[in-house]
Formats: sequence, structure tokens, C-alpha cells
Amino acid sequence: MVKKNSESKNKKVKALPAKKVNAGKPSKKTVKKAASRPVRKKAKTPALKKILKKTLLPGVPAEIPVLERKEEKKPLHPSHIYDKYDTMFQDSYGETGIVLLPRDPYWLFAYWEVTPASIEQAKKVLGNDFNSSKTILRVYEITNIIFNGRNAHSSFDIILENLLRSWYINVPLSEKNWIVDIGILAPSGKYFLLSRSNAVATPADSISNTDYEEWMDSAESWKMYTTRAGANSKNRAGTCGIYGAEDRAFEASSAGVSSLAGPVRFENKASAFWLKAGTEIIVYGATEPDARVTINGNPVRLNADGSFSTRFALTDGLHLLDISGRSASGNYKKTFKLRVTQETYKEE
Amino acid sequence: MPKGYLALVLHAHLPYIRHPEHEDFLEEDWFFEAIFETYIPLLLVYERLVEDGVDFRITMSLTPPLINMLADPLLQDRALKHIEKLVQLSEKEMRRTEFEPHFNNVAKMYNWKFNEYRAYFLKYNKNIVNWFKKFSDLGKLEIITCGATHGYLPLMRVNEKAVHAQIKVAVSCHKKHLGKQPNGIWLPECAYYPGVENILKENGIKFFFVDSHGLNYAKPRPRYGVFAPVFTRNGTAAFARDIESSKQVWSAKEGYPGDFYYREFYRDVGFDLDYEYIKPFINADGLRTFTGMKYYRITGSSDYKEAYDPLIAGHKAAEHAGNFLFNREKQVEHLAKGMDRKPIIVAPYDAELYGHWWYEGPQFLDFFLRKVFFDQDVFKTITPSEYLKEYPTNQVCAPCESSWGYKGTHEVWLEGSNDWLYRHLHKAADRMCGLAERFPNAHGTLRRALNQMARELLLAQASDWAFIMKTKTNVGYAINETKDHLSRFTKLYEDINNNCIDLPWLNWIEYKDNIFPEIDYRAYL
Repeated sequence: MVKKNSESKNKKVKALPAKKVNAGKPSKKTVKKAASRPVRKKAKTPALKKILKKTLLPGVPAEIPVLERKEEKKPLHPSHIYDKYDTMFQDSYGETGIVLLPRDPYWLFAYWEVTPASIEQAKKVLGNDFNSSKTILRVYEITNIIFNGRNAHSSFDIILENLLRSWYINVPLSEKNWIVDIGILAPSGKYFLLSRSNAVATPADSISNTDYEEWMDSAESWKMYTTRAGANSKNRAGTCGIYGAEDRAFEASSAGVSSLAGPVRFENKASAFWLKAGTEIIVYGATEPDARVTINGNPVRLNADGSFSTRFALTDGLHLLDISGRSASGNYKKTFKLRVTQETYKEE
Repeated sequence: MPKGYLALVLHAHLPYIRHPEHEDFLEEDWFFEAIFETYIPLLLVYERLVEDGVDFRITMSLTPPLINMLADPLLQDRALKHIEKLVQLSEKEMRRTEFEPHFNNVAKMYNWKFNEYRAYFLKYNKNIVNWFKKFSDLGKLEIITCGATHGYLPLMRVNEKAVHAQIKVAVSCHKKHLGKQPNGIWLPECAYYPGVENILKENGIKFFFVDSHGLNYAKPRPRYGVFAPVFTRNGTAAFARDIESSKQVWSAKEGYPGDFYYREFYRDVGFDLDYEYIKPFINADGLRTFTGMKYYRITGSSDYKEAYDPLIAGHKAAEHAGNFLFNREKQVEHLAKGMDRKPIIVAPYDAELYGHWWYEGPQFLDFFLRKVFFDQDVFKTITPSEYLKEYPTNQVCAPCESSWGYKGTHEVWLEGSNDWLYRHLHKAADRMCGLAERFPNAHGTLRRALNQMARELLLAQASDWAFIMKTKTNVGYAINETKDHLSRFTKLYEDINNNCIDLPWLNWIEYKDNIFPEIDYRAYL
């Protein structure tokens, strides 16, 4: 008996490769432990052994509780054989390049990809300098100029940590045009351009102060007549009421109320603990399948076998339920009168 | 003679969600809820206004994905099943609440409404696009289009052909289902960038909308601010949103929908009732979901809720309609003084706000439009097309890049949670254009594959995915959808390049992602 027990112990030990040597050779410890458990000694019958095995596994109940009864697995839709093709999402594309997007008047977003081949090329060009160099974003302000790489109004650098693939760039001025380079900068000032982005323009962030007016007739789309704002000040006075002092109201944006924003929004709970309880009464019964049954005068739908079941929410107080059935021929009638009382007492 | 105009604009949109491979798909419920909580209740309002001889104008954008879903037989059948289940549930509920007259009342209201919705849904052969079309033909409703899949255009413009395709495909979808060229467009998320008007003009679109700052920050400063449209340089008109009227309805804090007597959205029998009882009416996988039967009113800011009373809520809706009317009258009177033309107040809303979020919304509109017609002469409702007809001469301005999202910029759709998308969307657009150029006259299977590529690209571009990632609801679903469409796109791309198209798979994917059956990939040329 002792031996049998120690064997089962050894099974456990086997899982740990370091102690493999012990296999089949019970150590003193396991023998002693097994001996101190008389219950196990009794495990003679296979049935008991089974139970023991089960109880040995912590956390697994002997029987699956009725509530967690698993339903039969539905067969998968035939198209599931194609699911494997839905993993062809690529992470990168093997091309060096950088793309710039404007987000708002003061922020740009750049994403890029740099291939190992481009890095190799940079290594060649920069030589020994490469090892001490850094990857940078060089941001050029190019409003109203045809950019040739050297004629920007101004530029600034952002040093990138390795492995970055995108970055938000804060720019100091709104309503300007920008281009961004990704490149490798050596301490000596040597610069290797990896890729140059598209040009973008950032929008305005306030009411424009240009107030010349130009009007167009949609009938003659291209014939425009300009009214030089001679009565400049007058116009301004006229419009200020229309603009109003109010700027854009943020809470009026769509993000707050959209068909996609919900549906899950939990309210702030007034107190930490809450409890809700409700009662319902189930009225059920059976009769001949072709009979007619009413509860309080309302007809009840019978199942094919003549059984029926309905439920009512119960509130406190007395409730009357008149259940009556009438045979199909109309010759027989039976009525039950139920009285149900509910009282609720709340203790706090 | 009216002194000014009000243009109500309802933007009706849902992303294209259709899963034939699942019996019951959680996210498809958005669509069914929208039909039976918003679209049909709104259509019934229009129906009754017309019956009663009330003249009114509303502008509605029906986005191409929504039109395609409304016209899809599989989804139509599922929608019918949805409303039939609701009828059943309401019948059961009428009995269950027999001892609770305050709830019983509400259950009866639902039963009445669900039966009515079901009847009208069947009357229009399960395709309510035709019902919308009826009011458009009567001249009451101006239906405008949107991006083909609600793609966020300013973040797509690095390849303008992709923007072009979004507009072109949308316009041809609109023509197919509504029988006419759309005059206007609701830019997806109201997101404008300078230059998009050229693409609009090429596709015959005459006006679009921007958010308030889109015109307030325009160059030069528009003389009438947001209260008259401006022309962009190419003659396409831009209308701008009015803040005041928006806030009265939109705002979560001050807006009408927050009134304590209105129906509480978040208490639904799908979550409140006994599991076994409600199980046949929630998701087939046993997940508790909203059913649409809600018994409580907002009551207050705490958890404590009282029973909903449709009668009192109706009175509130009338009261709010009166208030909205009064405010618009005052606004128009004030504006008209300083202008040489009648001001136009543009009030755009997500259509789903009316009915789905704000249950009494359609009722509010009904009261409001009746009051506008019968009770005052200060202003009239109008469509943008009619306004442009009355005032063909407008100031020329360059609107400012903007959106109607938080802060009015692109930030909602370009931030930490969703910026990874654009790398892939841009690449896919470039690949699409490359293949279109390589095969400008494809036939047979190759043509089908290229058309399907265009569908997958468009579906991946929907701004809804980025929005969901940002708002952190159903994030997993949004990521999966994007990746699935991009994966399918990539497979098609590689199959075409290897000259080896997987026909059985193509058959399936054409059936599954069947938006725009009429699509022509040459939109990317």
C-alpha cells in the first residue's frame, strides 16, 4: 500500500525534471507522509480511488454543478475554413518612407518605415560616424515657398529613440506649411536623409483678420465681383453680433452623443453597496390541449401538450388570480381563485 | 413673409455590419435598433405631418453603408425577426406586469408601437429606403449623401484618388437607390479639408456642411458668420452649423434629452429581468443585451428610478418644442436685423439621437414642425438647395479645416489608440490605385477580384472603427473588422499579383462583404 502511494507521489515529482533521479525509488519523506495519511490506505476499491484522485486536484469540483451545464456546441459555419485568410494583416511593407498628417493647428503626426537596406546604405555613407549618430526627425516650415531642402523659413530636429514608428510633432505656429525628414545625424553634423515626407498645411485657430469681400453668383460661377471693403469699420460692426462672443462649444460636439458611443455607460453609484430584489409569481398548469384557459379574463396560450405557464411581477399587497378553463365543446368549465399576498420589510 | 430660415439636418449613418456566418451577431443589433427606434418613428412623424397637411422641410443624409444595409435581404429578414420578437416580448410583458399598472401602461404602449412598426416595415417590403424616397419625391425631405463608407477624408488625402473613390461610389449608390443625383453631401464626421470641394464638384455635388469654426475661421472672414452659406472658390457652397441650436439638443447637461421625465436609456428589461425569462429575447449566446423595452424615466442623477409615464413625457416634448421654437424666433429676429438677406440657421444632429438615445425625440420634432407651421411667421424650415435657389449670390471664402468631433479637429480620429490605422489604409489605397492602373480594362474573375478589393478597402476606411477605438467601446470588434478587411484586401492583392485567384474564397467573400454590388474598381483610376 505504501508503495502504491509513493508511486503516485513520484508521478508528481516527474513533472520536475531536476528530480527525475528519484523516480521509482521512494524517498523517506514520501513514505513518511503517506504513512501519516490513513485515509489513503483504505483506497482499495477502484471507485474510491477515483474519488481520491479527484479530491487530490484542487479547484476541480467532483461534479459539474447543474447551473453550469454546458450546452451542445453549435456546428461552425462552413465559412470558418476561410478564417485563416483573415490573418494576412501586414505589419510593415518593406519600403522606406515617411508620411505626414496634420491633426490640428499645432500638432502633426508622422509615421514611417525604415528598411534594413536603408540603414546599410547610411552605414556606408556615414562610415565610422554611424555608430555615434542618432535618428532624427527634421521639421521644416515651408509656407509659401517651393522647398528644395535648403530654403525653409526655419527648421528644428527631434531626436528619436530606437524602434519608434510614429511621432506627434508639436509645431509653434498655426496656418503654416510643413515638411518632415527622417534622417540620421552624426555628431560631426553629417546628415543622411532616409526619406522626406509630403507637405501639409495646418489650419487656423482663430477668426481671420482678413475682411476683404468677394461675392460669387452660382449662376455664373466663374464671374466674381469683388467689393473692396471700403466701409471696413462698418462691416466689422455689423458682423460682431453675428459671430457672437462665443467660440466653439466643446460639449456640443458629436463625440458625446453618437450612435456608437454607447451602449455601456455606468452611472455613478450613490453608495458602495447595493441590493435589488424582485418577486415574480409563476402560474402554471395543464389541461386538454384544445381547451381555452384564461387568467383574469385574458386568454393564455397553451403549449402543444396542453400545459401553460405565465408569470407576473409581484408587488406588495393582495392579488387576485382567477384561472378558468373551458373545454373545447364549451360544456365543461373549471375555475380556481387564487389569493396571493406579498409583504416586504426592509431592515437596514 | 418669414424673416429667416431653419435647416434641420439629420445625419443617419451606421457602419456596414453584416455577418451571415453568425446566426445572431451582437453588433448587428445597432442596425435593428436604429430601424425600429429611430428611422421608422421618424418616418411615421413625416407620414403624419403630410397627412395633416403640415408643410415642413428636413435634410437627411442617408449614408451609403446604411442604404446598403437597408436594402440587403438578409438583414431585412433579420430585422423582421427582431421586431417580431419584440412584439412577442411586449405581449409577455403586458401579462407579467398586470399587477403594476404604471408598468403595464408602458408595456401596452410598446406593444402598440411594435405592432405598428412591424406593419409599416412590411408595408414597404422591408426596404424603408423607399419610404424615405417617398418624402424626397414629395419635396419635404432633401436626402443627401456621404462618403461611400464614412471614410475620414482629411486623413485620407495623401492619396486623393482614395477620396475621389469615396465620393464617386457614394454618388452612384445614391442614384441607384434614390433615383437621383444628390445635391449635397454630409462630409463624414463633418470633416472638411481645403481642396475636397474640387472632388465634390467633379461628382456634381453643390453643397456641403462644416462645423461652426469651419466658417468662423474662414478666409476672408465671412460677413454673415455661420448664418449664410459661402462659396468656395469653385462655386461649391458651404453651410455651417449653428452652435446655439445644437447645444440645446445635443448637450448632455443642458440639453432637452436629459429631462427627468424622459425615458431612461440604461434601464432595460434585458438587464433587469430574470435570466431564464428574458433569455429568448437577448443575444443567442446568452449575453444580456438591450431589448428596447425600458420602463423607467430618468428621474434624477441617482440610481433611484421611477416608472416612465408616456403621457407626461409627451407633454414635456411639447413644452421643449415650444421652447425651441421660441428661441429660434428670437434668434432669427435678432440676426435678420443685421443682414441684407434672410439668415439660415443650420442645426445638424445624428439621426440616432432622435428615438434611439432620446426616446421622445421624434415626438419633439413632430410638435416642433407643427408649431413652426401653425403658430408663427418669423421663420420657415428650408432645405439647403432651396436656400441656394433663393440666394444664388454668396460670398467667396476658403473654409477652415475642421470636424465636428471633440475640439473640432481631427484629434478623435488620430490619436494613440487609432493612429496605427493610417499606415495600412494609405498603403492599401496606393496598392488599389496601382492595380487599377495596371488593369484598366479587366474582365471576368480578375474584374471581380479588383471590385472586391475596392469593397474591402472602402470597408476598412470607415471612420467608425477609429471612433470606436477612441471611445473604448467594442474596441476588439473595431480592430478585428479593420484587420479582417485589410487581410482580405491583402490576399486579393497577392492573389492578383501571383495571377492565381482563389475562386471559392472569392465567392464567399463577395457574398459576405457584399456592400455596393454595382461597384466599379475603376473609381480608383
